[in-house]
Amino acid sequence: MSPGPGTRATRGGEARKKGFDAVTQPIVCTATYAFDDTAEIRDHFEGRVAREEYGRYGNPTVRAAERKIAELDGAEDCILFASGMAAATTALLALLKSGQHVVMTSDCYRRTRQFVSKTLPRYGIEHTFVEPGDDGALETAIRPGKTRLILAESPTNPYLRVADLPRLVALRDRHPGVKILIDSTFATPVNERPLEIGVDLVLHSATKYLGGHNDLLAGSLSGRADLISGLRDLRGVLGGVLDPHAAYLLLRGVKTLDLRVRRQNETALRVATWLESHERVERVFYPGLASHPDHEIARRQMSGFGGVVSFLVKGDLDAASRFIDATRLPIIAPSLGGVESLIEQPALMSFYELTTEERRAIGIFDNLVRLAVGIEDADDLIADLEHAFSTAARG
Amino acid sequence: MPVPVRIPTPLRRFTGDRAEVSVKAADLSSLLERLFEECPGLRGQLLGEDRKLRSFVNIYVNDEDVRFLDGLKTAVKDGDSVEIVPAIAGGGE
Repeated sequence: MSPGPGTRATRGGEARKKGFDAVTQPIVCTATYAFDDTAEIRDHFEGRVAREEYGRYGNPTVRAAERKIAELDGAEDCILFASGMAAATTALLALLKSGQHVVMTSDCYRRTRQFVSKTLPRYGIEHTFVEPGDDGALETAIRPGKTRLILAESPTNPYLRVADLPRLVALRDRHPGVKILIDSTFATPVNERPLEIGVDLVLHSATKYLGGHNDLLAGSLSGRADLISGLRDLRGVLGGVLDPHAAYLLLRGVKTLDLRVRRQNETALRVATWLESHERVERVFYPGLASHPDHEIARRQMSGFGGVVSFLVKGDLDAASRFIDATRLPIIAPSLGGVESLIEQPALMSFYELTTEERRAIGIFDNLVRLAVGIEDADDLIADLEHAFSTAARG
Repeated sequence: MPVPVRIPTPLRRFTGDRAEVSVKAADLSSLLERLFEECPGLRGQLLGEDRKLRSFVNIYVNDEDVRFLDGLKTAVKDGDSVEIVPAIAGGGE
């Protein structure tokens, strides 16, 4: 029997005893690594001795965190980066070359879309954005022989759309040469393991749930060993490596991943259900609710629905701002997945420079609120939100 | 039609100094087997004991790193070209 996510998070990828007989992974702070003699350099470069060489190519603390995340993802290997975006951009540059084409859903993270639509075309790499949930459009967008990658997030931000991964994998199989990369940040390996469904690569912004404490930036890619080996080579060139201190915080944080995510699943479902019946709420977006367009897909392929709840407050941009300002428990900040609940208004935090009409055209409503629940007590969160609704209503 | 395989200089002592060896195969795995039948010394240079490509060897099919294609299962056909490139994973800090 393969170990469960709690065991994988706590013990996965770790030796029983580490350096200096430590129970925990030592932080190895070194920029470079010593060789006994020149013969050892020859042995290293001719592949007879596996060892570290220089900090940009590898670090034992980072490697320990990579092994643990690989175990959680059910992957042959994992590679860590200095941020989720370093992971995303390195993967796109590795997998695509001039004359090739990537298909991605239009609701992918804004900075990933920016890289694909503004930077990659400078290198002759083309793209097509398709609406989430429209498998027909996705298949039509594939250009035989040119399309090499399908990139999607699941669940997405901020509407928590869930990609039907078995259908995506079947579609990929009809088009040889195409790979699927899923950004699974919002799901975490506790709730969904896309590699087990047949996806080629999984990306996490480890800044979010994996780190879990709002205190580090990191990104990961997991998949087949040879694919990760190719990405590792390019990471060594582009240089987006994770610092060993951050790797240690990540290792420490990820040990409680299963506990935290289960708690966040429970709290988010309670909050979402409560919000849905609230008189000052126009609509709630949470895949655990029957009202969500992807509820059935989420039920089939996820064991929990995550800690992010998005909802429309009745009223305009200012009404939603008044509500957010009246909360006392969630902290007003971007990001998600940590132990502290965070709240934000996407119209302001992510799309400030656009007009109301421009925001609506890309599906972002002015009165949208995104709540990323932490591990505070659900009763306290709900009481605080209720208080904020009544305070905001008094204006 | 045989597929031409480009051999890098350091490995030519295993191919009788030939810079290119042509073999017939449907995928990379069987291509390498044919290559090893012709040049037995190459096996230990390219594959580890786990029968996977050594970490310091990269193979390109039509200028693409096979790690980003289907690894040793990558299909090859008439008109394709295969190149063996000794990778430097680290180096030049």
